[in-house]
Amino acid sequence: MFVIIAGGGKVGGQLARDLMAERHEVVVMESNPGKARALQDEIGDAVVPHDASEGRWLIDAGIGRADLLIAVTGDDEDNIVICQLGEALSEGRARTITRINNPKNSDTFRTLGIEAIVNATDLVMTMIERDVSVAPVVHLMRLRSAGLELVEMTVAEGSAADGSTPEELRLPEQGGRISVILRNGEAVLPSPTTRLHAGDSVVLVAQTEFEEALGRQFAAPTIV
Amino acid sequence: MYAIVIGCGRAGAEIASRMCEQGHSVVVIDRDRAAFHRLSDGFAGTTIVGHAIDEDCLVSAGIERADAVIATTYGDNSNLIAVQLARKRFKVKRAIARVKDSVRASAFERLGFETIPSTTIVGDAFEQVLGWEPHQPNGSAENGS
Repeated sequence: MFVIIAGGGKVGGQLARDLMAERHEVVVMESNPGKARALQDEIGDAVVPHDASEGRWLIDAGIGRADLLIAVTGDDEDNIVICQLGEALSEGRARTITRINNPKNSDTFRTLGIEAIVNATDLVMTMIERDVSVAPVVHLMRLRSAGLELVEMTVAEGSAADGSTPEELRLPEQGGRISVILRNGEAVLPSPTTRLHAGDSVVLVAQTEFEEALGRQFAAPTIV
Repeated sequence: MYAIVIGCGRAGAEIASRMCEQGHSVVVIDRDRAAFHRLSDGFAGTTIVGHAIDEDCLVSAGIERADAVIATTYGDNSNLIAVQLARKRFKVKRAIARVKDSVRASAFERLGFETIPSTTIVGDAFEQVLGWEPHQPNGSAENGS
């Protein structure tokens, strides 16, 4: 997977290290020369020392072929515009996630129709940062306006999900989209062919009406 | 027309003063009270100290009954957020953002937002004065590049 990270601060740098350790291709964009240089010393050529909301640099960084754009600069307005710009420049190809720095802004961003992305990521980040507790289905939050739920499900041994890929489970057809897999305390960004294993925690956005059906695929088989 | 001008730099002060002269009702918002000195002497509109994307500030400026929002702050991203709020949250008919970055301007034009791509406009003006053909804007990413 090719990932562009906008913002080379604490969160951006850590994300870059984690993703590179998992053999993903990563580019970090950081406009502060000092921060960019410090990161360059560590991860080399993968740093573009420019503002990601500046269109030409985002194109230069490879947004045209990016699978994922993660905006984690310290400025909420910048993060939102970077994601919107990335979606536009990649013609919708790149998935984008961002975080809210100032919770005061969450209402504002919700009105812009980017609630799921913003809040989901915020929670995903928090979950990555702390140890994720194991629970069958945890409602992370209800995304009412969109008719969506953000849920965390744990893959039970012997369940339909155990050993299957999101594609085989036909998740997209059921309105489900996996945002992140938390495996042994580490975050794995899934592709349609990533195989799930018992014990994985899966954070997924699901349409409310399909949530129960999705939950059954992750639950242990009942003995009749 | 009832218009809100966000940002009272040179461009904001210019358009606010012009609109006022043409008999429109104008409210100007800027973070810095000192910025309002740029308005023309005859400016008869209202000034508010506040932030571009603060909804409370926009409401007190009367955005709910505004016919137009013109975002001219120094920051392209603030302007783009302000026009999105105006259009989506407050259903303002015309919301126009000054955007210096040409690529960002054309991308948001394609997303359906009105922009004034100031750098492109200045570039075109220079070309015109020099008698050259205006250049073709190139704002889309090349896939696979």
